[in-house]
Amino acid sequence: MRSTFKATVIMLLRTPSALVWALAFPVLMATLFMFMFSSMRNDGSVDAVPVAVVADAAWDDSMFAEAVGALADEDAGASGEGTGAALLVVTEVETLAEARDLLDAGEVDGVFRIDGAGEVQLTVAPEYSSAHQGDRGRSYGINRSILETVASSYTQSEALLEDLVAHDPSALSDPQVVERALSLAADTEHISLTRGTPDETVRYYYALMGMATMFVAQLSMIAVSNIRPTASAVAARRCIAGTSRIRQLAGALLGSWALSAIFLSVAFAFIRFVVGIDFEGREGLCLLALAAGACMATGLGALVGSLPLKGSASSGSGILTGLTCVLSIFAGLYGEPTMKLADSIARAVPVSAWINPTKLVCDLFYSLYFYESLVPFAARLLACVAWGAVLFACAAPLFRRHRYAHL
Amino acid sequence: MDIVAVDGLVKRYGELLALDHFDLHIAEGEIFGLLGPNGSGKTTAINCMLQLLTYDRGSIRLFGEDMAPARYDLKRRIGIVPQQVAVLEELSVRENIDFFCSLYVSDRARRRALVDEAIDFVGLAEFAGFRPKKLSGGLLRRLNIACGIAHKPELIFFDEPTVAVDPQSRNAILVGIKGLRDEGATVVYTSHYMEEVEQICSRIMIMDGGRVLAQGTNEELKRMVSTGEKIVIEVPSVSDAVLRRLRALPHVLEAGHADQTLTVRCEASPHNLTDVLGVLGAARVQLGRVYAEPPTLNDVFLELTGRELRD
Repeated sequence: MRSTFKATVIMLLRTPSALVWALAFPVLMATLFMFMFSSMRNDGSVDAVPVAVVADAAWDDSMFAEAVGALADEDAGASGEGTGAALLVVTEVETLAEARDLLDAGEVDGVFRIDGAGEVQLTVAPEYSSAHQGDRGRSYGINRSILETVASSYTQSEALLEDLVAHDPSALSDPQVVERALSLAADTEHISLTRGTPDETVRYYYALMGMATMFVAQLSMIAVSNIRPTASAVAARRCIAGTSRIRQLAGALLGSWALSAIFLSVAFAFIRFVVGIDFEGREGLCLLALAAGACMATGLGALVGSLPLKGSASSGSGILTGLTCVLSIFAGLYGEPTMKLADSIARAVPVSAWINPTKLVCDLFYSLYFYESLVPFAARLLACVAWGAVLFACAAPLFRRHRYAHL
Repeated sequence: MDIVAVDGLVKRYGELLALDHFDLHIAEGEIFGLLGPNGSGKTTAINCMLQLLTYDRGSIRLFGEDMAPARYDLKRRIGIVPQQVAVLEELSVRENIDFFCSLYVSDRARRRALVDEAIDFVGLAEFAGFRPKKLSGGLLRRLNIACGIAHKPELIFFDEPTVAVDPQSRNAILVGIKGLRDEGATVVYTSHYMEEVEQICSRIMIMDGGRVLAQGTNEELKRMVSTGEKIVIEVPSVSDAVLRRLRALPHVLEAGHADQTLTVRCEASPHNLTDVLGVLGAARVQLGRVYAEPPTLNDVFLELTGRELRD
């Protein structure tokens, strides 16, 4: 069995079609996804928002001028903790008319000024300005929200401090009280419903791992075809040798399972370390998931390899490729419409997620990503192994029934 | 004790009777030839003996024991060199021999020595690291043989091992098979090349249509037929009248002309050549090369079946 294991591994490693489908294809797909999603997957930072301020006497006397100055200071940073990222780019003008000209020209996204009552006023770009056009238009909405938040936060804090001065002036001597009063999160507990921060693109990579798992089924299909006596002269020769077919089958399946797990691990490592997809620090469990997925794929390949097909591995390869492509639709691999379709089907027929191997592997990673509890993961892990066992059980009698019958 | 004892073997493929009460007994140390045209049942007989094929009736005993699909103890004592080159394309020469040897011998150290010996035996030492697709047809055949004999089997089936092999490699293969016999192996050799079978086999069985037509030593088979001599003369043309006169000669069994060659089959007689040349001389036929040869296995087959072995 050991020699069959070794020969199977060497043989598969030197079979170009096996390497292309089981190893290169998932890595290529992941690379493609990486470029496709590069614009969606950023670090959440935003460019500094261009804003004009009417730097008249009222502005100079206002505390808001200091606050805006701090937000525009690169050394202080947007958070005020010295992160080095300025939130605002300030252009000082002397009159409101000059500021409006800049706004109309789309050079700034808003204008801050202090009115006669000492209140902060924000003027935003009119609909016809270039701020609403093209690429600028896409970022304008976010920039406007930032400017509104700056203005409203300052106004709220100012009102709060005035209230403190009026009702409890002594409290101002305690910096902690002031800080707590100014903090928006003072009475808010931050909790997350999921283990990880939901990221739309992650789903595609998990679906890709499901597809990759289906593709590695090619390995066991090829290995089993090489022992099926009707497939080739070399298979017939192996069947009359001094080692039983079952022992040879066991060695071949073990070899293809090991190689499947390694190939999937390579794809996983690429997605984790090159693409940078988050697996929530559960990489060890991911490897366990891949081993279980490889078990299911090996069973599927063994079943297809045992079918009484004409030709050697080429017919089986066609069946598996077709099956992989179709089942990947229901894991949502091919874009947003298929993702919605996959979600709809999973909601309408929950059992479908347990029947479709691609979806099952996809959900295996999902359960690690979203849930604190390992129960959903364990359930899917067991389902993968059970699928593998069922497929082996179906393959065995088919394999045994093959009889060489050439004249 | 017979190493191979097959009795009353019947194998059908639907309506086609591939083996019709086939009997075969081979003693230890023999090189036994199975001779017959394509489709005569040689390979089917071997595949039944190896349990690759099921059969309808009959018994097969190898090494004195009943053969069955799960008799791996018996299978480990057998080597098979199939008609088609059956090696793994992805493995090198050495890896292929080692792999097929490992299906019979699990001890790695012992196997290493056996593989080296097999490589030397077939003369593939300088190609040991090559993959099969880099080998010529003759070298592939040698690899095919090495994969079948590396584990030092006691009984070896060679199923037409010299098909599509150049004469030099063919001769090397035949010498190698004799060497295996000298080392103690019993060999079953199938071919439709009568010269090979005549050259190396101690006993020969002639098969056709799944039936045994005759068996014995080379000489015994030739004594079974009336042909004692074959006279071959290169002549551009011969008239029907001359052919009739030749056929009328005493001891002449048949005379025919094809491809500028006159062939006259005769019973054993000391004056056959003189008589034939006398007829041709009287008819003023221009003669080319003239030679006479004893009967071949093809003549035996021809007389037994009425057609040429390679038809």
